Parts: sequence; C-alpha cells; structure tokens
Amino acid sequence: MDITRNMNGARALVVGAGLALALAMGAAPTPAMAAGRVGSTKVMVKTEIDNVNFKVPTVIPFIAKADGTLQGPSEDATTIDNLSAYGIHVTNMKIDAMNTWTIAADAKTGTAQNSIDFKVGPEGALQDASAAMQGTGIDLSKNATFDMGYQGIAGGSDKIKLKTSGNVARVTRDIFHVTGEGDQVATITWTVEPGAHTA
Amino acid sequence: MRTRHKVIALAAAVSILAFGPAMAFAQQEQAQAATQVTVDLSGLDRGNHQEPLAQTGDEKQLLAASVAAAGAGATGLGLCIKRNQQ
Repeated sequence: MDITRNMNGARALVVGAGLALALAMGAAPTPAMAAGRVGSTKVMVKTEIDNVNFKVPTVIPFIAKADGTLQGPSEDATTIDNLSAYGIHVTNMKIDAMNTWTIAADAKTGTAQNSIDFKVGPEGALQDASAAMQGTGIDLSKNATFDMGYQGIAGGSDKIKLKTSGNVARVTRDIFHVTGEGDQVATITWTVEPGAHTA
Repeated sequence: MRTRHKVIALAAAVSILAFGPAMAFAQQEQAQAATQVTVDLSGLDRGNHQEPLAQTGDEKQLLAASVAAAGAGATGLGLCIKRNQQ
C-alpha cells in the first residue's frame, strides 16, 4: 500500500472540499451579500458664532421726572430680537458708566452727584445695572428668561421684551439742553451664544 | 538705514502675528451688540416709540477698530526700536 500516495489523495480531498465550499458560498447569494458592502456617512450640522444674527435696541432713553423717577420706553419698543434659524441665549450683560454719571445700587442714598440706578431685563428678571458694572458683568448663561427661540417661532418667543425702571439723584449735568436721545449715562454690552441656557 | 527699516517692518509683522490670532479668537468666542442708556427731561411720551435696533453685523466695526489699534501698536513698537537704535 502506498501510504504517501494515499496521503496526497486525502490532501486533495480536503482541498477539493474546501474549494467546493468556497464556490458554494460564493454562488449562494445571501441577501446581505446581494446588497454589496456597506459604508456609512454621517450628516452633521453646526454653526459658527459669526453666523448668529440678532438685534438689540440702539438706545434706551429714560425721561427723568421731578422726583427723580425714570420713565423708560415700553417693553414692546425695547426688544432683543433673534434673527437666526436656531435658538440663541443672552449669556452676559455688561454695563459701563458714561460721562460723569455714577451708577449706584440706590441713587437716592449716598452723596455722589449725578447718581443713577436702573434695572433692565425681561419681566420678572430685571437686572441691576450696578451689579452689571462689577467685573465682567452679570452671567446670564443659566437664566432661562434670556432664551430666545428661532426666528418666527410661534408665540413670539424669538424676542425678549425689556422692561426698565430707575431713579436719578443729585443731578448737576444739564439733562434739559441735551440733543438727540438725551445725555448718555451708560452703555450695555449684550453677549449672545447659540442654544438655550445651560442647566 | 536699511537695517532700521527692516527692524521696523519685522516689529510690525511680529505685532500683527501676535495680535491677529487673539482678535480672531475673540471674534469666534462671542457675538456682542451694544445699547446706549440715556436720560433727559423730554416731555415727549415715548411709550410707543419704536427704538431703532442695532444688528450684530455692526461688530465688524469693532474688528476694524481692533485691527487699527494693533497697527498703531506695531508702529509704536517700531518707532521705539528705531529710537533705541539712534
């Protein structure tokens, strides 16, 4: 008996069986193989800060009554409007005093001349100007009342209506013979980011 | 003289390179707009007066001002180097 020849026969049998199996797998079209090899592509969207578009009032003109009480414009006239296709949020409000005005927590107390206190913000969340002068301003990033929905959202939540109040005291500046919108007491800088407030 | 000019130009270039990224970073980090607050004794009832709105595109003016400031700083640095060389 030629063992070597038999071993070669066995090898040939194994190789043949393997080839047959491979051919069978290739010839039998399973559904997955019929669809071809699969790859995937993610579709993403993001925005850049330069694309955020919104409007703020150029001026909030107060009128001083005889007792020092300030009358501001209506909240419908002083709004921050979102002009973006996604929600945005005011994250910071910083106030800088102008000219020789002193922005105080309470204008009627103290001794400083040309003293003013005022608040500005949405209903129920008016922000104190004197607090907004400290450091880098008031952090509003966690304040839900400063959220704005996408432009045109139902219900009008794409804008914030700003209410105002305040007082002046010990005024020596000529706030009568001023031209334009009046004597500038402060500048408010609003910082805005896309998205809603953080938790 | 040529060397001084080269030093001044180099100082300007270094300043722009130093200031440039910082300004670009600031632009990318936040969108800002400003509101003036004024007071007067006007008897006009402004209750229904619609205030004009400032749009965020105005911030390009801030960028232009920042670039101008960087340029002025670079020039100042160049002049300072020039003076030190004299």
